[in-house]
Amino acid sequence: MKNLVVLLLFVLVGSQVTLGQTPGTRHTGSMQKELVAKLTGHLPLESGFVLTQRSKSFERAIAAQYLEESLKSIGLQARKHQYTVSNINLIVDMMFHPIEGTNIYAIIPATNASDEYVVFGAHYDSEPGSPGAIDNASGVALCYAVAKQLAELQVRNRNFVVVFFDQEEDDEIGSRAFAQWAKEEGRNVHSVHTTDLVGWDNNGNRAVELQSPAAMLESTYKAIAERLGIPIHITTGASSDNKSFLEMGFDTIAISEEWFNGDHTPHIHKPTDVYSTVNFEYLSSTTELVYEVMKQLAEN
Amino acid sequence: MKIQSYITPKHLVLLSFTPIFVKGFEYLLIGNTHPLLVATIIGLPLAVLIWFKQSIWALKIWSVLLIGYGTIRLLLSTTLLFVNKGVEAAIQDQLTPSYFIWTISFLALGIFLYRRRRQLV
Repeated sequence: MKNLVVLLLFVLVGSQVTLGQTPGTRHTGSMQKELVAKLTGHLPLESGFVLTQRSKSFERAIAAQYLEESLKSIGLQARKHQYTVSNINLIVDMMFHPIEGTNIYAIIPATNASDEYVVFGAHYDSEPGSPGAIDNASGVALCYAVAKQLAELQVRNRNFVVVFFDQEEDDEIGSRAFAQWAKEEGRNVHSVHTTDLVGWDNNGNRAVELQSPAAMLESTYKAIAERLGIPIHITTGASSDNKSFLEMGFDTIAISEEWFNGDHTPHIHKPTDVYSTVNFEYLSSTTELVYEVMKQLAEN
Repeated sequence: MKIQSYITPKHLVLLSFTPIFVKGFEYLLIGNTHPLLVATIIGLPLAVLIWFKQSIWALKIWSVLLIGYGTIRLLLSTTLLFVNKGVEAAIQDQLTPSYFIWTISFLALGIFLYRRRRQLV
């Protein structure tokens, strides 16, 4: 009898530990840690190169190459979206060359015929002098894990596009080029979800901020967050890659830690934005939220 | 052998003007016509002056413009080397030794043209 009680307790405790986690997210934690570690120089890349920042063009090219290979390793066909754009004004144009950059993206095709695309992404560049762990290796790791799980779904009624934007720190140049390109291509974009700064949760409440969400996205996120016990704060404006898509009229949402609510990384744009400051439990929790939303969009 | 026997003002103006025109076309390829427009607005009056045998004036105006262009590039790039905050990484990225060599070349050619303009014509 005593053994039976112990066994029951064991089962109960075990079930509590895994409660709230989808099967996928349990396996993505170590993958996300490795991705953040390699993007921030905590671990060297396969080539032996240590990325201490992702700001200069050669560093961004190395990071892009790594992300391309990472997408391929989960069975996705990674592609490059290379762009060349003008500088901020004519005077700068006359002094300097045009700006060049590369967004990395992969399409996770619908299993049932659809012309709709759900775009989700994060910027992979960092501010000069900063390893950019939370800003924004954390967002990249979130999207990567979501892409992996979406690719494993048996049924997808929409196409999904995971994209890693270049040059967000330079006035969102990369995402603006991507948004422009999507518009020119005439793609039927259902919605755009951008993640930036998703690795800080000092008060441990797992809360997420949703910036300027389209109405239909706001209700979806709120419903799923409520089910997962994640507090949601809605904010206005546009302070990251979501700005590029909002300006072009796409239905957009930006996901981040509590930037306006005060619980955010103090290390942003500093040399101290390192791997050890990332709260991976929070990253995992926010990944789960975004994945559940994507899963719902895939099923409906 | 006199310098003007193998270098004509036309050659020098063309030589120094080429990078500006190349820049104009570089931007034209990405759909921005403004730099080429600026190059044309500057280049056309110079061409007209040379056509009407007013090469000294053309050289004077062009050399002053080149000195101004080189000076602005030099001041801007030197400032950007020390002021990192708020400057786009894409711009910082271009501040390479070759950028400074081009800048010094514009400046040096501008000064050369200004000082030797009478000898060259």
